[in-house]
Amino acid sequence: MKKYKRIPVTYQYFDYEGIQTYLERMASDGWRLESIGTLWTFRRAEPARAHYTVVYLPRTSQYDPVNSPSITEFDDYCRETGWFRVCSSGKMHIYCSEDENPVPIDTDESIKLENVCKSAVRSFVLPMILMVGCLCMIGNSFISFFTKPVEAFSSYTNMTLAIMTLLAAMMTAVGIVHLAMWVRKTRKLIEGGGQCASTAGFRRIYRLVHCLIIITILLWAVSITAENNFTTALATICLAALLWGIILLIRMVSNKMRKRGTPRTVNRIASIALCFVFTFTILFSSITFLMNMEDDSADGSIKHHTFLMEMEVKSITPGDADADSDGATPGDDEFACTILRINNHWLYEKCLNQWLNEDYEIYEMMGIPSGNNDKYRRENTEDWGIGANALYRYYFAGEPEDKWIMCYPGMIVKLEPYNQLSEEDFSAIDRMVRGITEI
Amino acid sequence: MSREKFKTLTEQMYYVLLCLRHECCGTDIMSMTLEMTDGRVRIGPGTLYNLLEQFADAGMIRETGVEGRKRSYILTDGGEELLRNEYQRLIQQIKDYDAHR
Repeated sequence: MKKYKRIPVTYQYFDYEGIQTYLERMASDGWRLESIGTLWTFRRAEPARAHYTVVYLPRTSQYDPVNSPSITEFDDYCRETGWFRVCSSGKMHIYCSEDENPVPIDTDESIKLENVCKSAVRSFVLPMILMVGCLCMIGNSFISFFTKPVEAFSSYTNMTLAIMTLLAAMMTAVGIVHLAMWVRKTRKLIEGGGQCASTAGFRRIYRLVHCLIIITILLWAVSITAENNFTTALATICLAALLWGIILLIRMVSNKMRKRGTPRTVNRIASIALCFVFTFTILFSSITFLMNMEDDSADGSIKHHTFLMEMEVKSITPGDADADSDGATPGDDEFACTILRINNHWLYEKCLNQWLNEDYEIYEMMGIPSGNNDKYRRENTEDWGIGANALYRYYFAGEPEDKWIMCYPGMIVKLEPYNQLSEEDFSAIDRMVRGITEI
Repeated sequence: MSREKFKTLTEQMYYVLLCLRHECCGTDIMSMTLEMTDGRVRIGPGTLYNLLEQFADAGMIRETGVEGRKRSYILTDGGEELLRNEYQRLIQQIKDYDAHR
């Protein structure tokens, strides 16, 4: 029979009621809590009726030495009434009593409320907001659904990453809203002489969002594998696993320092410094590695597709477009062509809008002075002899550039030739693209 | 802030201060209160720990000694005054009750 088991436990930080009930149920099933972390560790024991209490001590810290005076003193008080500490995580400490009717650890509801609030804000609210902020800064945030729909919807990898940041933001919002509502309700109850409100609200929503995040992570891993070559996929997944491993490693180092009695400040500074050093080293190395990796597609093209959109980036020459041609004629000029195939009208407009404004924003970002005329302007398709619904050409400092966007039903094509295109080139490309549309 | 916080005392605050009129160890306060009130008032260890911290921060009690990990406390003049004011308030409440019977 297994002596230990490790389970992911999904309760909100301040949902002490849920945690207590869960631990008591586990104890009656013969499993006693040993430690809490990413996974909670339970040890096999005799089934017994045990009482558990979650206590929040705002003045304690995850960086405190294991037997710091503040917690050992508190332990002494609790031991007087039959409670012993099982484990701690930051400002949250879990106590157990096997007495029939133990004196509750917290008998003053207003003090309990104050401790929960202070601990939750420092240990839960601020770190969650920081995490969502970092995810948004890193990129592939859920905002890209609106600002960069081409990238967000053309690749399952990008879609799942964007969904993950959205779910993380939702989980943070649910947590903060729940905490705020619970504090408000509890204050009213305490003023009327009652007890703290139940922490059960939003529990199911929180658990659902948690499960969705795990599913999205798995989908991300699958999409990375499906959309990239084996080496890139493996490198990316390993990088994500390595970043997670760093968090566990830093936690391990911090715990070792705690056991050695390292002062809180030293432990905190060392942990944060290690976090920065490891994270930046690995991110920098991985970006360098991934950028130097060769694309192993034979013709150098990139293809991504989802159920909403298909994106293909390829180098073509006008010679490719001629149906009777055997292929590119030596000496013909190649240029980059991005083809978007979109079924949805709303998405079509969003993607077109992104492309029409993109280059303008890039020049702005690069600090290149630009005027009001620096953007794509609509051209007359008949002047160029093409059958597109719309044709746009980029103008910079009032002068036309060789950057084009061609709009067809269900398809947008972006051309970035190295040299000026002639009317014949345009006709050939138009025939090629309309040939693709007809297929 | 501390004066506002302790404007009126809860039962548990009252009995903690009462116990500390004479020097005693923090951990003994729980059993002393139970004995004093015939089991009516129970002070949980978490509440006691927090109250002692708050009273010490507010200058209502002071630490008199440490034996191993056991700390002893006693009321300060501020604490005596606070306790006396609460006692007077309770007496007045009883008088008001008697007067309006």
